[in-house]
Amino acid sequence: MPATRAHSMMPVSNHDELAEQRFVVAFKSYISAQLDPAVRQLAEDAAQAARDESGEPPSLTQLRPQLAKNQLYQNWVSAMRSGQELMWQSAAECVDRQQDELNAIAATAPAIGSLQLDPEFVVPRYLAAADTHMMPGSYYYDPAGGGVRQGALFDKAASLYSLGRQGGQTNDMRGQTVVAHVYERFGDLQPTRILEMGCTVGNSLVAVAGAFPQAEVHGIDVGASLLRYAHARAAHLGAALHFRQADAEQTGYPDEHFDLVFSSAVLHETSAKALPRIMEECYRILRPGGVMAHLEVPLRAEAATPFDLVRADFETRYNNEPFWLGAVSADLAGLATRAGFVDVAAGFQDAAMGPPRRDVRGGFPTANKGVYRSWYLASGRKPQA
Amino acid sequence: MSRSAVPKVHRPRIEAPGVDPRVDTLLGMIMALTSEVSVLRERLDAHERLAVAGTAPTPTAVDAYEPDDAAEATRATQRQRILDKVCRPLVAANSEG
Repeated sequence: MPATRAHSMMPVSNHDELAEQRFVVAFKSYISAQLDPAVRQLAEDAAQAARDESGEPPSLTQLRPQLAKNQLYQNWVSAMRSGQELMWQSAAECVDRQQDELNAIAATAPAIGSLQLDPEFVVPRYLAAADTHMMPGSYYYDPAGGGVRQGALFDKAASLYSLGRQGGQTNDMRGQTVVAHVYERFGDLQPTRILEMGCTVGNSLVAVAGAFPQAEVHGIDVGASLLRYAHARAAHLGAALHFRQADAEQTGYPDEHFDLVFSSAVLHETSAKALPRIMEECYRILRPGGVMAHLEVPLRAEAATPFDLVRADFETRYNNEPFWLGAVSADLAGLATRAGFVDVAAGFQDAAMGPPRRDVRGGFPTANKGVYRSWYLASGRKPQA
Repeated sequence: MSRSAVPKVHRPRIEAPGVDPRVDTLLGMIMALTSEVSVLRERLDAHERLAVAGTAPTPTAVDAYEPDDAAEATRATQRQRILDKVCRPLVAANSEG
């Protein structure tokens, strides 16, 4: 494992930890290869039965009781959640063994960028209500005496969660996809100041900063430990990024401060009330002509198959992503327009597998090619004054 | 949340309709146990490979052992075999219960 470590903040796995992590990844792959197809069939059968009865496309309210009766579906829910819990447990064991060492490595990071924590910060209610993704302590747990533990836990588990399909240990595919989208739709944009809302450990932010080296690059999130890790991680990667503990609904930045504001798979972790407020806040802090871009999971409720709905239902209810279904049903383009944005578009963007080139365009929107191959993007420009 | 205690639990843990909580608990325990078996197999594999190479399988040597591609491929096959065996009944349960 040390040989493949992408940056010096990534927790190192010893022999047994690596064996356990590989088991968890294999178990998750087993579920998707062996159980998913059977649950997909169950969902389609239940949907067909509902259509036969009512003549209308089935809703989750109709599918749930049908599936709940089936032992295979019950096993699938239990196995999915067990895989998720084992993932956090195995990542936490590895991280907690080396917390002191990670804190020491963080302390040796080059003194570049900045970190601004707020001891009075209040975690938004929608995040405080549940441990997102079943992550114990969620985004905002802060160990006694500070430290980078929660960020290390998130980064380690995220590299397992996606089974390496989101850009390996740098986990930056989503950031590269945001860059590709900006090149595609706003090719003239030369941002001097960029903000990411909900940056977690900075996976995407480092990628975006790499694409716009002239820009001053900022990231906000809700957790002190998460942000300490993000700052140290970026600095060890040579990126001078500015991290701040702040709420996306009221960031505290001055009006017209940024040229580009983006988020990456964050909106589905907010709430129906927060979502329009976040769009309004983007509008306020962007300069006229500035660009807002939100990347989301590649699923839209209106185009969802019965299994997509069942999978989304799992994320929403049993993987503690309470707004997942809400976000994939929300009219993001309409919300952006209502917030005042023009030149608004929403659709699927091909996933970027590495740093995109400004002169190579893949088109937008494109067809949805599925998870880790496409992302849903909604973007717009603040009108010129 | 206390700033001192390391959180161990996932909250909330919503029960899924139809899922017997006792079965759910057992499934979680069996998969945790299976992960331990898989780790033990790999630790034993490290012992054997170190022994073949003439290296004493001390705790330090085993902890530091990194399987090469061929060894990792063999381990992946073993891991898959264990999963197939343990999880087969989950897939076989495709009936209304």
